[in-house]
Amino acid sequence: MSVDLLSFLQKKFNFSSFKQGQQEVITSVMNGQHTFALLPTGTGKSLCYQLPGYLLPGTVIIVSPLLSLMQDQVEQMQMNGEKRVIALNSFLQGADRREVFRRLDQFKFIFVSPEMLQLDYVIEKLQNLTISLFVVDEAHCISQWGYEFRPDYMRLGNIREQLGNPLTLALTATATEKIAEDIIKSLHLTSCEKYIYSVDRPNIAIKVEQVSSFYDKQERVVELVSTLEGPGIIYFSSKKLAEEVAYLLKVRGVSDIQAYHGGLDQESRMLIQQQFLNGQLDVICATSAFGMGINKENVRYVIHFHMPLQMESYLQEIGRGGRDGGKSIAILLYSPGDELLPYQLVENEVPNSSQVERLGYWLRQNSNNLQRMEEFEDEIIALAGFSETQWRLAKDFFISHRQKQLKYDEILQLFNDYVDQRMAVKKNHVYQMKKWLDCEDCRREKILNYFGEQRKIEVEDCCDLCGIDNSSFTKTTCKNKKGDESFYWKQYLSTILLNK
Amino acid sequence: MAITFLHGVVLNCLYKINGERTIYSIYHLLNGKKSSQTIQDAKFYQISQYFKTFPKLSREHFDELITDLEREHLLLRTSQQSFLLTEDGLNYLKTFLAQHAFIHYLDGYQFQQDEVFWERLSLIVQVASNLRMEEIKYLPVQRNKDVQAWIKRFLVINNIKRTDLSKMLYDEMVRCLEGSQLVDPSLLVMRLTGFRNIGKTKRQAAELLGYEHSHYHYQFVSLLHFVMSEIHKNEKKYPLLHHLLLDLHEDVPLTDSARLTLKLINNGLLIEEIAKIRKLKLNTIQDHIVEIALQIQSFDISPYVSEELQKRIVLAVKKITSRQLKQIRQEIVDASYFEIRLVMAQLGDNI
Repeated sequence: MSVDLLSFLQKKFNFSSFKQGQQEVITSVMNGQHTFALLPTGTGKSLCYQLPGYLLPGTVIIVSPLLSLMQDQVEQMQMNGEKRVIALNSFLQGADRREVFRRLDQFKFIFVSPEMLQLDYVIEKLQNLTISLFVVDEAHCISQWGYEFRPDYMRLGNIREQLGNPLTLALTATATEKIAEDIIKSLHLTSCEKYIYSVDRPNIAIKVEQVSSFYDKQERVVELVSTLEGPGIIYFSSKKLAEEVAYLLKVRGVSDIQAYHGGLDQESRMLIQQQFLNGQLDVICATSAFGMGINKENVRYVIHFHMPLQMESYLQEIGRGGRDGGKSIAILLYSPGDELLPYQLVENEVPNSSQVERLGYWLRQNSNNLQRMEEFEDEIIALAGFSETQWRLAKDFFISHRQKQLKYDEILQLFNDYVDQRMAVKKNHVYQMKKWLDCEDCRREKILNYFGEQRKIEVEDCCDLCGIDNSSFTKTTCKNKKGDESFYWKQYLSTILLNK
Repeated sequence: MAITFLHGVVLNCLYKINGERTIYSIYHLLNGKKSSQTIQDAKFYQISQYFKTFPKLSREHFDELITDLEREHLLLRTSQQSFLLTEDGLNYLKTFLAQHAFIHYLDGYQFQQDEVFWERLSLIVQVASNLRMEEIKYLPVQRNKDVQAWIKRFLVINNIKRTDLSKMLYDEMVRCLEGSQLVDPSLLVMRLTGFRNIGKTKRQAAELLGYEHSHYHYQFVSLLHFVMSEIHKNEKKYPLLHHLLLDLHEDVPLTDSARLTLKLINNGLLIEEIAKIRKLKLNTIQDHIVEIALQIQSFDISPYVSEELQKRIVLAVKKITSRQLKQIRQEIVDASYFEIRLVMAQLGDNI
């Protein structure tokens, strides 16, 4: 069996060998076992369902929580020559949508957003298919303890049953023991093989640097970018600062740099990603919007200008470094008081009590519109003063609870408890992150402990507390500034169109 | 803050409307609002070239532009929402127009579909370039599904050999862009993506060439309009490129609602009947009729204004030289605003 898998991998995907864990997970799925897999970022989770998909007779359904991630994955697969792939989400509209549903059985891989699975006719259509594998991507979203909990993921257990309990694969890159158990239970998986691989990425050195002020932090970034071997990514919590620091770096002579965030138009975002992949850019100043679905192998450093909101996203983001297996360094810059920003951001994500009260007021006035409250989106947002994330949280919660024949005030009470709980969970995440920053012995060990693991191996260039040889990460090649920066349009056109 | 190119555009538009419309008519114009009022104003005041040339302009940003111009003493407030140019403003505008001859290329009203054209052009260049290198694994720079589907259809229908495609595209693009005397073609070409050469974003292009954002934007759009107009006028010279425009040219750019009204008029219905059937106000239907008259030169307005009244209104418009309805109405008391607007619509630019 395993020999077959390897030759199939080579033939179909053009990879010479499996990465850690892939073969075990795929074998488990091919043996017809429900499977839970925790694979660290950058180890190719998607192969774990793509490969079995080709070997199994029916359709693979992949539930994916983020629209942008879903689009990226579909485009990647299309780029690799797979035509029988489709994303069912709110982008799919009108005639296209009817057409897709009419010939749904012709697709091999169907990505679907949790919102779509709330719709009865989508379920009906899916019931008509032969589902060979049901994949839950980013499965930690199912767990209330997970940092990205999505209420609409809670119903996935029931949906699985409606679809006739298909063979299931739950994938995540970040989950503690507790979360793993929660996921398996929520999906109603009676027997399930667990494959848990260490979240540790030994080729990534981990460093926290304390600076005394915001100004010093900016200066330090300039220094780092000019001395570290690229390519690199610098993460920020705000679009504005990503822009400002990119500008500062440009002024200080770093030429191949761009800011990337959700505020840019689609064409620019696409171009910047591609320029980075193609080596035309060396540094990206990004918000967390950057990196998902981008497979750049040779990122040599990841700098955090702000502290992330939780360990899980920190790990995801530093995990974008060193995917080629080569050395990479993660540097988090901390200045006193930095933890105030994440606390503030958390409060902006979860509705506060007065907002919940105002939502309650709206529901009292419109109790018969409970079933279609999303149609009154603008009105509710204006009344309660919700941010985008706050509204999504509220909407998801009400949509997943209103089927239960509850009155609006009963749901509201549940929502109140839920919001309190979410706030506490999120604040605890920030607290844990800060505690980690303050730790005094091995940082890697503390990360592993957080995810319920023990440190087993000694790592060279482990963390700032164990000691890092900085010279491993400094620029070796002194890139000469390109002499002639002039652009000749006819020459460029001829390069791209005539290959001359 | 520095005065940008966009400030100059706003100044020019305000000069043209001469205080007879509110500043927000310019805001709607730049955004390309498809309302009868905006379209009529664009024609009457001969500022239709700016139509939809700065879409996604926010009201806050627009207000800032006005505040800046006022602070720089280029504008003088005459009432709550209208402004006139000061002496300084007039001088500034004169220099501005003299320095930026390229806006002659700009024709926002005619080329409302410039964004789709750009999406098609940039995508077909990428496709041709990769086809030539036999590369099939790349991400399309344009994610718009309609545009992607269009390119696919185009390639299937025309069935051009892959090496010929890129050669033809190269020849036609060079031929066309060489004709641009007023804008440097680099502005557009550096944004194109090909095989392992990813194009610049608009901001990168602006920075590389040393233009502030809106100045770059208007040059880019002007060049795009030049290209579209050149191809449109000389289809035979551009056997490949003219396909990109074929279905983009709306013969009569009417709002959907006005189009429906026109259909009912052609079925012989009266204004009142149309209003009743469509459950719309009489005023709205009248707006539609004005819009139709504006767009369709041959549209017969005599069922709505008698020939005799038409003549008197034309005379009054010519005499007053203003386009403010109020003044014209004072001249001819027995005409309604609707009748005056309708006659003016038919006159169009021929005043």
